[in-house]
Amino acid sequence: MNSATAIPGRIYDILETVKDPELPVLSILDLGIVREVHLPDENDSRKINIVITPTYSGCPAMDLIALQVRVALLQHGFKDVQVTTSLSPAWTTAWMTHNGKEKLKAYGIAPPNAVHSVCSPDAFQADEAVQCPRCDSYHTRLISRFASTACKSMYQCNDCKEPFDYFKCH
Amino acid sequence: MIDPVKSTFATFRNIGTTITEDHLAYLRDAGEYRNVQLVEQPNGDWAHTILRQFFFSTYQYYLYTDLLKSGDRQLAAIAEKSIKETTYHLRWSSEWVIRLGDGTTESHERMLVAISNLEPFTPELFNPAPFEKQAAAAGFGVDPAALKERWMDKVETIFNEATLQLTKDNFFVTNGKEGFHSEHLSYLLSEMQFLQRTHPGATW
Repeated sequence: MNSATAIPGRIYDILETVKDPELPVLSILDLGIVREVHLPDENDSRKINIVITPTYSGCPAMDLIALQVRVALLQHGFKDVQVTTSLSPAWTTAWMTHNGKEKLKAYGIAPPNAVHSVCSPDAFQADEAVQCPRCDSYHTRLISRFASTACKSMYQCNDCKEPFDYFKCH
Repeated sequence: MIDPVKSTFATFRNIGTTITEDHLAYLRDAGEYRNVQLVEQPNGDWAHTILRQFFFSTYQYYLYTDLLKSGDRQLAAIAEKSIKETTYHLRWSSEWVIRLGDGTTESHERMLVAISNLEPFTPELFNPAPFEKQAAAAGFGVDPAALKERWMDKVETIFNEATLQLTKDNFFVTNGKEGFHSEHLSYLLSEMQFLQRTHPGATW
């Protein structure tokens, strides 16, 4: 499911203003963490329930995101705002929007590949080719499986020599 | 004496009401922690650090696989989320074990030292504590004894590639799951809990 399609335009615009504090170029809609939007009371359009799914367990950004969602909705006239967290189905990078991936790349972080070729525990599988966000070369190599945050790994481009973060598939 | 099964269940029943995440992390003394002793062993030589990770990630991988079928929906959802990250940890630590075991004479020697230091802590992973038996019988937990064969197979497969072997002897009894810990846990806690202990309820 691509969460953005089911959200009424007015609410979409409000949620679009809530950014991931670790990746301020991405909104929570780009990340695909908004799973459901409910207006539970037909007679009171100021009541709203939002369901979000965390990207990584223990991600310190989640509490802040939930708070920011609440504040953004309250500022736009909603009175009764419920933000709940759902763990299942688990978030996957496949939920990140095309737009979000483009923004990540422009920010200098290689976006997750569309095909999850290495999400199994077997050692030394053939690594997926990761495209350099700077020069678009696929001639890159893995430097470290963990980078500036747990959700990224560190790569280097063999052509332009740029070291870069890769938002790993998940 | 406090019944460890009852007190553990009472703690978990009250999570979200009288007991918060902060209580669990910052306000429990070592004796109230239920972790296996393997995970409180300090970092050291890289061979040691990565072997500890590999032993534990392998255990977690099969634990979460079985917890996906838990009768408790929240626990099953946590497992569904966690197994994706554990898969990555298992792959990463497996590769390091192979790289070091099948690397140079020096790295191989260091892996042998790491095995002799850490293998004795692994039987505890599969010895069910009373609360684990009760949770399994109630349909929401996993009896860790059921994980042992798969753990052994995976470790032996990776060790074969790494030209290493489990010693399978020299075991001693560890029972961190019943609140008995090595001295290392107290050092970890005194550092982690310092702020809450010194300034209870501090917010900023």
